[in-house]
Amino acid sequence: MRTTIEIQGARENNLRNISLEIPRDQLVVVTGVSGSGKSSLAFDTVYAEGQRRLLASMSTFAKRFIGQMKKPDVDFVNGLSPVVSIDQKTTGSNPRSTVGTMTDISDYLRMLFATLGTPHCPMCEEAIEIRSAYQMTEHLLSLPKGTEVEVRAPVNRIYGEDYNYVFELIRVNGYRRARIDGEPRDLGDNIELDEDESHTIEAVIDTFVIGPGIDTQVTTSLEHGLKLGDGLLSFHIQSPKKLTPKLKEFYKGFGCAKHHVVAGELQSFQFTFNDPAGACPTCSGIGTTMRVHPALLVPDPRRSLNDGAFVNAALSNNRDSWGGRIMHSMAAHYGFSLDVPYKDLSNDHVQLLLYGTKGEQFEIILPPGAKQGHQHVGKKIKYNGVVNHLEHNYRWYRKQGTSNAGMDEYLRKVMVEYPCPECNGARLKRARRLVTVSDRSIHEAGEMHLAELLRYLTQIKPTPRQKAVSETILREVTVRLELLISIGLDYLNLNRGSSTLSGGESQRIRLSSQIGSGLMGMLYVLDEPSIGLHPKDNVRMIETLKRLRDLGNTVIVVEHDDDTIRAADHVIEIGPGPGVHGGTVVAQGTIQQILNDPQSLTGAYLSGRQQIRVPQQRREGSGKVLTVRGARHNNLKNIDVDIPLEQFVCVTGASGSGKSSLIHSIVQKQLYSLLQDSRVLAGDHDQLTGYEHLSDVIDIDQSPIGRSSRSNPATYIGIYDAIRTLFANTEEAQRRGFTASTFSFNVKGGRCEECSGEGSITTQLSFMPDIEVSCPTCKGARYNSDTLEVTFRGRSIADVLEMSIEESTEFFADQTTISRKIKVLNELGLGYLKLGHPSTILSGGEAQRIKLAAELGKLKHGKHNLYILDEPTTGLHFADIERLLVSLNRLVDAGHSVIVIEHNLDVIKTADYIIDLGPEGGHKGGELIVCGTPEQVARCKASYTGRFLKPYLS
Amino acid sequence: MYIAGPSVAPVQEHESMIHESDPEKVARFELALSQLIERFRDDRYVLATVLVGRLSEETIWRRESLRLWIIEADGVSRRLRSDGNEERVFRILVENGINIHAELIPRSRFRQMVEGSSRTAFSCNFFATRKLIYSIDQSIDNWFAQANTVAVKDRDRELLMFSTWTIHSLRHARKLLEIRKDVELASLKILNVAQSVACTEIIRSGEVCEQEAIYRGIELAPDLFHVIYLDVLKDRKNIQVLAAALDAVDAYLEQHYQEHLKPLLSYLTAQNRVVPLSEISDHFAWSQIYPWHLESACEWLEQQGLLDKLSTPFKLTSRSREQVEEPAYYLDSDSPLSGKQ
Repeated sequence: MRTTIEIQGARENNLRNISLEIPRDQLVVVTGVSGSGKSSLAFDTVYAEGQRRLLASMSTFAKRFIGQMKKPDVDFVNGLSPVVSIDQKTTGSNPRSTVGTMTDISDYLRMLFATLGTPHCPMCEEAIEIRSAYQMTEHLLSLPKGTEVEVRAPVNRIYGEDYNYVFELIRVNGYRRARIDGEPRDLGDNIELDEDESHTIEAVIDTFVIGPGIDTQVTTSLEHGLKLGDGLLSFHIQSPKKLTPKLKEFYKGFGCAKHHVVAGELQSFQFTFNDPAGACPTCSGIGTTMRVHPALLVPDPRRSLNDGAFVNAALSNNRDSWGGRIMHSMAAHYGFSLDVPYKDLSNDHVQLLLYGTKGEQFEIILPPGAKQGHQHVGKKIKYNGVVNHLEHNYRWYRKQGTSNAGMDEYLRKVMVEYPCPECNGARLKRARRLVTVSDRSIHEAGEMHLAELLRYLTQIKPTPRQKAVSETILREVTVRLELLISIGLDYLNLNRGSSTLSGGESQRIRLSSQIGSGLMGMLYVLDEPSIGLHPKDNVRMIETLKRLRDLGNTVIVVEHDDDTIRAADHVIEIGPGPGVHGGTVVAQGTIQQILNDPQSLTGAYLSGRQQIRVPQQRREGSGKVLTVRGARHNNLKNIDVDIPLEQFVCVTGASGSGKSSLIHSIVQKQLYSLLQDSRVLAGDHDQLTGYEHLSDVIDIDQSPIGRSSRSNPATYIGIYDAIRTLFANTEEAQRRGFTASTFSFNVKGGRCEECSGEGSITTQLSFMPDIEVSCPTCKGARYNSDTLEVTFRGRSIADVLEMSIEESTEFFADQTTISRKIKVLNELGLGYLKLGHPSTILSGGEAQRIKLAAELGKLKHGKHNLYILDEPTTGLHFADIERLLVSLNRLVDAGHSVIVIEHNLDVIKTADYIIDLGPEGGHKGGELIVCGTPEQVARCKASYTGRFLKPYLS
Repeated sequence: MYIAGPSVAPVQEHESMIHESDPEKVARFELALSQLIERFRDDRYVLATVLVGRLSEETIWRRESLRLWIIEADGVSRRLRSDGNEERVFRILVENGINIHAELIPRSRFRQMVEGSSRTAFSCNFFATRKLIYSIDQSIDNWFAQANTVAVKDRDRELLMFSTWTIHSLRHARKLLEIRKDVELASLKILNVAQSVACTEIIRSGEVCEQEAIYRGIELAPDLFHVIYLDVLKDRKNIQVLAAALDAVDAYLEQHYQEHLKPLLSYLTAQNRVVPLSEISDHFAWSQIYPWHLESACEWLEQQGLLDKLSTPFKLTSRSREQVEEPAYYLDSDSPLSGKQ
């Protein structure tokens, strides 16, 4: 039996026709500097070929429904198993996806609640029994012949709708009679109720006169009624009026004693907020609702109404629009000016504009110069105000039940999310929230931290009848929870939205699902699982990877983390340099072999032959401080934090300890709101002071710099325009009448029209993978032959795009604007990239460095920016980290401030100042443990970071 | 009562139509019905039978077959290939030589028909002169008794519907008469208007519209129908007669609009703002009241000076960035019209 995966002639991306063997059933780490070809080997070759072969084995019919993969550029790969890739991609922004749905635990929990749940009467909240429709029928038929029984279904009012809406809803469902506060009413009549009072509404589902042969219709009727009553029905004997002991017996043990409410059988789908049977009717299971935030309506209060103070979509100032007419008419009627800044308008006038005239009428007049609307002049109207008008439109839009990207975008501009007023974020309808297991509802269980949830589940005591089913469900849930806890995710809860998870958290959740599957003989390819993990949590992650291996799987991890590399059974180092300088296997073997290999850069850093040095002296700072008071967002425990400016500050702490909540949700958003866009709402805190020392706040993350293959480093850092101008100024270009736009591959003129400037043509085949071929006309050059004939120093525009950054530094040496910016890219270690390297295939680390380069390229004196970076070392080798630190320090030396959220101890040890949060994640975190220089932090016994940092400083 | 009868020339009776006297025919139909019911008594899955229409000597002349609703137990429907995808199941039976057109309705659906609002597929007027002739389910008896009362909201909605039809046809008839001077076509249109007015009158009186509503309309408002129907039907049509008919309908509308257009007026009052026509139409969706009817009603109210007509922006397609304008109407909630004062 094969014990290795054999790869022959791998040439994907920059791999240089390499051949190697990777041991199977082992934990293998692939490492190397950023851009050296690690991912090309692990993902683009091994994973891609494994996946392709698996898909190729499917029938032609099945292939039509799944995306096909291109064969990687490799001679052959032998010894592959079914392959699963677990990358760092976050799981989209679907508001319905949660930790519970991602891990399938929600499915099991739903089954648990459907099996063991105890429903409660919606009126008195007394626990009630569950009966199937057949059991209810049987119980009904036990009554004496001729007894008349009325069956009712409780109906809840929908938040924001009047009682008439509920009555219409009942009638549309086919019921005309109801009991309102116990009184029989015909819903076909006009019923006026006090909307501010709470009324009990029960739809009359049916009235049965007990007799032979009615069983089928009774059951059918009850089944229909259970739908309207959200699984609840009540039974009331109508005739005879005086209840005999036999009739009284009917109610005993059958539903709630006071209201005679009985629950139908619970089904697991009733507990999902993705099904109308379970979803809260007000928010449709989203848990939030949108409300207009008046501050968002006026982004810049310094503008006057005439100058468009209001967001155009909310109240246009166009003289031919209704917005313009209303503003002019109201200004004339109420006597305010449309030319004074909005902030100078009196509060009364602002209230009129926002919340309307409260019934007062005003005459329509037209703004000066208006061309339309003359037919409206002189009419008298009332105005409900911008806020009411928008909220009305929002409700109307939600009722339509359709989604519209334009409308969503418009609403996001002026509205903010609030918890749903009906379910308060629980997403489920009331009847479902009233079902409990061990006194907790499914929503409450979902709110518990995973460790707490596990404890709760283990103390559930099912009845002997429920035991068999519940044991199976509890076993499945327990295994999954234990796995999640073992990889350091105990601070999460099942209700947490997927969109709020970091890439590392998503990856670990997917990893736990794989381990939970218990499969063996698989090949797992992982991308930097240590990202986002505090060194103390990383130990648990490594144990998990070993567990996956011990199940009988091969685990290939692309990783730079010191501890993970040391824990590997086998290490492969790709390099030696990035891009064209890499693509070969530099070293391979056990960790000891790597440590001893003089060729291995990783070995050099791990053995200490080479290291990131602790700075001789730490910056004292200018004394300027950014202070956050009363930070309470997410798990932050009302903390006050001083962040020194003009220093290199590291924010550390266990995963989930509140680092991102403090820096991104409060500091960054509040600064953004104060300095750039008031529409941004920061997380919960009392005050942020010291922002007057800053000119701007800039977030440099690892998100792609462009989503189109037409974006590249040259366009991103803004040198491509200058390069095109250089070409346009050549004699040949002048003679031919070419302008700078002729040298753009985005517009018609100079580009190749066969491929529209893409350089390649994609052919879609119905059940084969799409084929991308080089454009036959321009041969991949992206320009037409006329354009390519124009050269600058002997190179055409296509040649320049193919030029590496390293090479272009010399080529454009005398072009000051261009060379200054290219030099920065080169200094950041991106010299191997081509100027025209498509953004879509840049790694996260490369994209981040290009963003940094763009920032460094536009440094201006007198400006004091705050740069925020969240785990900038992701995807970076020790050597790359060293380069990154150089550029970050350059920013600080230029008078800027840098805040880095980081777990990498090599970065932490070089910081001027550390803010350590913790001590643990989730509810056990959110406190400020220690702050100060790395040496001060290392001395703090309460700080986990300090404990791990100590050896790095000695 | 056949009011139009005397003015019509005697028609040669077709052979197939002269078989028996009306009482004889009624008796034959009743016998067929009772024979069929006897068969049902042994079938526990047939819960009730409803006769659609009357078996009276006055109306038997137009009958060729019997129409029944047969209410069956739930879950026992027998479907044939010929039923296709249609939810409703129709069967043609024969008894005593008389064909019986029966619709088989499961009990649960029947309850929905009885209780559901007119927004659902069935309107309350389906229950006009229906007679429960057989039942073994007490609940069905109770429902049926209840079904013969028209719900207030349904009545209001029906009044609005027929009134908007009246307004719509009236506008057209006036144009034919006053602009085109086409007496013939205008008179035809006015007869349509009269039909709507007849239905309106029937509903106002708490009854349900049936076939030949015009006869009942004449009984309920003889003076009005003399002008808008009988005069128009006369041999010599002229502009004066037709204009008088139109004026009479206008006066009728003016007299009753608060009651007839009540749902629309109540809605606009509750909104207390400028409401675009598309929103008004949305509110009345599924009630057989279409946007153009509502537009007619709103325009009529605006012409009477009771509403203000404005306009609001409207996007034609889901991706349109440019906006067009649609009519929007505003009713001052403090005006007497709103019913608040």
